[in-house]
Amino acid sequence: MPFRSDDYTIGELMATRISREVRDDTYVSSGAASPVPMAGVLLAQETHAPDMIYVPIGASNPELNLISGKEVFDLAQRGRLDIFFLGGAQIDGHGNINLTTIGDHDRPDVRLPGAAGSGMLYFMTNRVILFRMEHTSRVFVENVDFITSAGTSGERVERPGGPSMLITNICVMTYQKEQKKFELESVHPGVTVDEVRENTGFEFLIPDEVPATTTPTPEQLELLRGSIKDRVGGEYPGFVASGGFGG
Amino acid sequence: MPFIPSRGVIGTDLVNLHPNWKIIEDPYNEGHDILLVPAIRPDIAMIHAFKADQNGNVLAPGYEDRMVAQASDKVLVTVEEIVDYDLSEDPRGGHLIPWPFISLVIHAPRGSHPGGMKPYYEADNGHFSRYMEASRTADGFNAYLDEFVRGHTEDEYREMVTRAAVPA
Repeated sequence: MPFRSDDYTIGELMATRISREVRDDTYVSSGAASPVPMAGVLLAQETHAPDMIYVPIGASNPELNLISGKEVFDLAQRGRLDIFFLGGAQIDGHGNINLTTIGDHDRPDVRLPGAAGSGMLYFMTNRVILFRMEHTSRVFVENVDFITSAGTSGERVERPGGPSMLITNICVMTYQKEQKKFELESVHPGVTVDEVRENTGFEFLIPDEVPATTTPTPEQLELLRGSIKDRVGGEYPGFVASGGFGG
Repeated sequence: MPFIPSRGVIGTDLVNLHPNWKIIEDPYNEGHDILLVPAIRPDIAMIHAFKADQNGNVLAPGYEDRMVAQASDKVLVTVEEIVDYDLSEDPRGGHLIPWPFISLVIHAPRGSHPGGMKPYYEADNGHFSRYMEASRTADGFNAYLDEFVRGHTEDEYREMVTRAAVPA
């Protein structure tokens, strides 16, 4: 993918877009392997959402590890969790995600870590932001091999929440509930709409005008590269050390 | 508690994997279904924890460990350290599992290896990588077992992996 910038990293661009979704006076959580969402949420907390309460599951820093994972699930079931972040080894155009197995479930090619609560959180969190650092047609498929959590539900299922957007290393898509489809919101600077289409295995809506994703301001970069990077590194030392977050 | 209702999950393939889960009409929410998941009743639970005291009280890393202990017939606990004070009076830094829920405690420092046990030690990612590479083939997996597991005591294993971890 031709994304390249000397001014900011892809992780910083994604975190900046994520931060805009976070509202003040809400509960927000994230799970394992979510360093970029963590950076985005902390950026929001440092700027426009100081009274947002961030309760990532399983954090080691006591400042972040405020309540147990079980209690995060309880918050979600009570309808009080505004945002959660989910990835997926596969994500399809219906918003279904696969965190379980690739290939035939009984004889899988790959056994993945598993659902880890996503089967409930995806339904009950007000808004779920899907994220992946790899935007390819092996990840974004027409139909996932295993539905670990479903993007949509029938009338008999109480479902206040679901997918709200998808943020990847090349673009941002929003989920359009009525059409049950993703719609391209923006492409990251240097990426074309055709490249997104070529690397996406499902159909999505493309508006006439597709802007470039808004880039981080110097102030945002300063925050991301200061205390936020330290805190993210405290939870995800490997990710930060390997330059996954840049800088 | 014989079973627990949960929101969500209906419509996922997880339901198909668990024939003992049930979907019924939610008695408090007409026209809507809800999932019921039966209790898990383990014969034996194995928990790796921070500390144990002379009475068998255990200080565990997770809130959920106590529920696992309560649910299980026998509870085997390995710990990083045995302490000489009463953990029920000072459970700082972890979650107390009281002695009535514990069957057996084993002192097993570095017992999470190659996993991490904060704040005692980090995960040994080098060892994980080595295991993942070895386990790609049956021969590699067998060679790994010969080197680290078969014919070795816990102390020998700990000695090997501690020595290997030092230069990194």
